[in-house]
Formats: sequence, C-alpha cells, structure tokens
Amino acid sequence: MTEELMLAGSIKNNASAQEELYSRFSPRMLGVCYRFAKNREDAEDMLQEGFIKVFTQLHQYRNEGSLEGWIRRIVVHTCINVLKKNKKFADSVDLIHAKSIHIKEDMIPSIMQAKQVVECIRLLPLGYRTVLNLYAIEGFSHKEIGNLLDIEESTSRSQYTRAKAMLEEILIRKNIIHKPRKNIFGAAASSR
Amino acid sequence: MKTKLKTLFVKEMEQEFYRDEFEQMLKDTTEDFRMYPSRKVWHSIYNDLHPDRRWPSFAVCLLLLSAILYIGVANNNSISKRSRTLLTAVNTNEKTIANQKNTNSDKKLKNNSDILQSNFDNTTYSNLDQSQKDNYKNIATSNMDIPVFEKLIQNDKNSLFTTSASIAPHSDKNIINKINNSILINIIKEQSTETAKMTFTEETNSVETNVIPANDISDFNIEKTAAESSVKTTVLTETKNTEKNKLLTANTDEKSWVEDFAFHNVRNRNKWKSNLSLQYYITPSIGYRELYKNNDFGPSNGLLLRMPDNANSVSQQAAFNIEAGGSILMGLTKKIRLKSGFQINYSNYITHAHELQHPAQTVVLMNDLHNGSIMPVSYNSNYGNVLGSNFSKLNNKTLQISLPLGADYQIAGNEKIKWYMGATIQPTYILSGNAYLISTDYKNFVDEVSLLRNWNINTSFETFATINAGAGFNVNLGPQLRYQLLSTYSKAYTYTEKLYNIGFKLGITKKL
Repeated sequence: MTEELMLAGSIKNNASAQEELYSRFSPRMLGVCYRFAKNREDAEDMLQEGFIKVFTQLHQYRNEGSLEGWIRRIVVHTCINVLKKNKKFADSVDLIHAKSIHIKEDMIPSIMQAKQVVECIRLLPLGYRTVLNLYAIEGFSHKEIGNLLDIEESTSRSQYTRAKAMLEEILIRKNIIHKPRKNIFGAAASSR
Repeated sequence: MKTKLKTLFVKEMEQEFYRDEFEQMLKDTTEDFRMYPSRKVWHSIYNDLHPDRRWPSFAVCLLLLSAILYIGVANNNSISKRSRTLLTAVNTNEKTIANQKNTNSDKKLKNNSDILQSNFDNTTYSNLDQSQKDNYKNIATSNMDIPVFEKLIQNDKNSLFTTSASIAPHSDKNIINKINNSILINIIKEQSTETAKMTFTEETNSVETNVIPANDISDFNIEKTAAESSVKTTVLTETKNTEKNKLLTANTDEKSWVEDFAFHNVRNRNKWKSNLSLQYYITPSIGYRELYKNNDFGPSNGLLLRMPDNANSVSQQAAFNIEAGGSILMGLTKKIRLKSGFQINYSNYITHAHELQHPAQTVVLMNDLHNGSIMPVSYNSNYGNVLGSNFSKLNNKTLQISLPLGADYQIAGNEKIKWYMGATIQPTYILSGNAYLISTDYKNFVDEVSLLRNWNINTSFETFATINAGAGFNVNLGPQLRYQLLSTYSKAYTYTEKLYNIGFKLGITKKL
C-alpha cells in the first residue's frame, strides 16, 4: 500500500489502512517512547495514546515534511504530557544534581548497539533523561524544552549539561565512546 | 510568509551548527532503535477508533464461552427434569388404571382408561427415527408407557389437544381434550397417585370434573352430564383397543431394558450427590517468617556483597495468626477426596525495634526489574534496629483471602474415626497490611506498604482425625503447616521474606 493510499484510508477511518500505518511506524515510535518511559509497559501506554492522537489528527497533516517526522512529534509530545502528569517528574527536572548520583560499573547493562546506548540513556535520572532526549535526539531547542516542561530555559541548559556529562561517563566506561569530550560538550551546551 | 520561512531556516542552520559529534552520535544510534509493541496495543487503539466494532478481548471471549456452556448445561438439566416429571405423571396414571382394573369391574371405568390408552397408542411410534426412540427408552419405565411418552414428548400441551382430536374424529372433542388436559395438569403439578386416581373414578363425569382444578383451567365446562360422557367414551373404546394390544405385545422385550436403564440412571444421580461434603474450619496458629537476600539481585553486583545473608541481626518474635473458611469436598475414590473453597487469613509477626527521637535518613536498594539496574531509594525512618530505651514492637500483619485447592488421603480408619493427611495450594490475594522493611544496611525499619505483593501463593500440609459425630456430621482435628511460596514483598526489594504458620485446625464436615 502506498503512503498516499494509507493516509487517505486512515483519514477515512479504514481499519486496514490504519493498521498498515501503525505497523509501519510503531516499532520506531515505541523506541522513542521507551527512551522517555520508566519501563516497557509505560512506553506501550504512551505509544497507544500517541497513535490515537495521530489517527484523530491525521486530517491535519499537510504533507509538509515527512509523515514519520509528524507522527514522531505527536508521540514525543504525548510522552511529555504523560510524564508531566506524574508529580515526581516535575521534582526530578528541577532538583537532581549530577554530583549526587554515583554510577556504579555494575549498574551499566551490557547490551549491544542501539539498544546499548538507549539503555545507557535510560540509566539517567528522569529529568536528565527527558531533557537529553528532547535536545540531543529530538532536536528541540532549550527554549522549546522550557515551554514544554514548564521550566526555565536556563534550567534546561544546566540539566542538559549535567545529563550529558553523566551519559558520557557511562558510555566511556562501557567503551562505547573512547575520548573524553568535556571541552566540546561545554562549548556546545553553553552556546545555545 | 517569507520571514517565517527564513526564521525557520535560520533556526535549523543554527541547530545544525551547534550540534556536535556527541549529539549526532546519539541521534544516529538511537534512530535505528526499534521495539515491537505487543498486539494488545493495536487492539486498544482499534477499540478506541472503532467503538462500534470492538476487538473482543480474551475476557469477553471467555465470558461468551462460559455463557454458551451454561446455557447448554442448563438446557440439558431442564430437559432431564421435564422427562422425569413426565415419567412420574404417566406412571401415576398407569398405576391408577391398573389398580382400578383390578379392583373395579365397572365398565365405565374401563372405558375411561381405554380412552386414555387408545389416544396415545394411536401415535406413530413405528414411524419415529431411531434417536427419538432411544430418547423414549431412556425415560420410559414400562412397556405400556412408551407410546404415551411419545405423545407427551413429541407434542406440546396445545398440540397434544390437536392430536387427540384427530385420532378420534368421531368422538366428542371436548371429552378427549379434557382428558388430555387432566394428564398434563397432573404432569405439571407432579400430583400424587391420589390425584391421578381422581382422573379415573367410576363415575364418568369425574373424568372431567375431578382432574381439572377449577382455579387452573377456568374456561373448562365441567358441568357435563354423565349420560353424554358415557356415550362418547364407548365410541373411543371400540376403535382403539386392537392397536393398543398389538403394541403391548411388540414391546415386551424392550420393557425390562428400559426399566433397568431408568433404575440405574436414578442411582447414579444419588451416588454423585453422596460424594459431596461441606466443611467449615478455623485454624488458630503461630506465625513466623524467614528473611534472606533476594536472589533476583544479580550476584555480580558489588553493592550487595556487603548485604547480610540472613536475618539474624533482626530481633523478631512469632505472633498469633488465624485462618477460617469453608470447602466443598468431593470423594474421588474410597480414600482420596478433592477439596476447594474460600478462606480468610490473618497473618502477623512482630519485629523488635526502638523508636528514634528524630527521623533518620536511610536507604533501601531497589531492583529495577526492567533493565536489571539497582536504584538506591531514600526513606525517612522512625525506627532503628538497635534496641534502646524506646522499645517498640512492630506488627507486620496482612489480611488475605485465598482459594485453597487440594486433596485429602485417608491413611487409616473405620466407621467411627478416620485418619487423613492432606495438602492444598492457595492462590492468595492480600487485601491490606503493614510492612516494616529492614533497610539495606540493617540499621533502620522503613514503613513501605506499596512493596507488599498483591498476589501470592501459599501451600498447606495437614494431618487430621475425622470423628463421626452422627447425623451426617464429622468433626476434624489436627495440626497444620502453612507456608508462603513467594516473598511477601515485590521482587524490587533487597530481601525475600517467606511467612509460615504452625497451627491446629478445627473443622466440621457435613455430608450433602
């Protein structure tokens, strides 16, 4: 089924077209949700909520940019909304400081490739993880993150700097990256 | 529009410019990351998008299946019940006829019984298929009843009237209808022989008047004259007697088989019922626990090497526990019986602590079950694990309900007293409780109910004597050990706790 047919069918509430669209994009979108969520079950809940929004708002898609990018945007916003409903999330964005967390060697799982990196990201505290996901992977600016999470832009910047430092430490220990990149991180983070 | 596009372009360029290798590496790597959602996610989305065509859930399917089974079983029972009712009624009628034949030489009476027989004898028994005949065999108890039964089962109340009328086209339809009605009324009400006798009293009028209670069939004209009735019954007698005799002869061989079948059928039902007993019991006991390191924490975790392996450093004492419930027992063989029921449990043990003057910060390591990592979780604690001046007893109690499933085996015994041993497995749901968890460093207690596991599995072993107390009652007495198979707490907690009780079971059993 072509993307046009799939889109048209999904807008007309055709179940097979909707299932086709879901099958095509759900694995990658679940990967996105999993980076934000506490566990797989929560990620699936986010995915479900996200796709319901996708299907109900599909008629608003104007073929500007890729369909996947449009779906991804909705799914990411859904993840953030779900996280914001959790009171602990608000606390974790503002209060956690990198120095108070000690990553032990054994806490880093030994898994391979993309999943290995994702699991390392998921080791970060919730606030760090969210900001890092939004900034480094989803491409949001700190201003957008501030608006999205109801925090100051400067908080987003500082959270990201700490998150990055912590993730770097984890990745170096697991030999996923080899060079300390403190200067470059600092420069990149502060310049935005 | 141009300005907007320009702004967007500049923003994108800016983002690209400042995106360093690290972010690019993260983005590139995670782009390839995919996970495959379970099928239920799509079903939920589908149900949300198409509420009119909901995807049937497993629970709905199960419910549907159960409903179908129930309807099937219920119908089966009602058919059997109806057949038994019919059987009783027809037997009653026939006995009445036989008695009256023996004791009464009055021709009118003979005519009346002949009317009844001839109506049914004229049915097309020989034209029925084999399965219908088999059905009749199952329910009939005498040769004479077979054609009568065919009539009663094959036709409903209304159609029975019609058939009767067509059998005797030259007779008075009212009389025949009323005779049939009288049989049906007897059938439905399962009236005794006395009532049936009233159907065939010597006086012809009573065929109509006595069998039909005025309150049941009000539209019947029961004021027929004796002379009118007599004339019509004679007509029927002449036309039906020959055919009836033929059928009686032909079915003689079948008679004994049918009678035997019915006889065994009744016995089986009684046997099934006599296998069931109802038991109520109560078991006061002493409850305790064992505590050791949770094996779900990875052995490679250096953090846990320092964890004590046993609970020797926690001072604790046993406490009073109780369980009570009811069971249905079903005899499987002479010595083995299965049991299942419902039980309420109150479990409890006491931990010794001392109350802190100021709350202290303590840490409990938690296992993140999804990625295998360990999270230190901070708690405020009001109790220390070092005995001091403010001595406290912490009650770790839970209220549970469970569904025991198990079996008893009779080791020895006679009619008066029997010795059994038994075991059950008990899926258990924890309704409420307290949980004072020891911190990972064993220094404090943390009040954290959320770590209590909702579902658990218990098992019990018991041996008991059953004393026959007469009137179908038995008294059961004996010791019981109950052991909890899963930890009281979730797998996330550092330690595993298993509860056990040693008690004395007192029960009373009544045969159903």
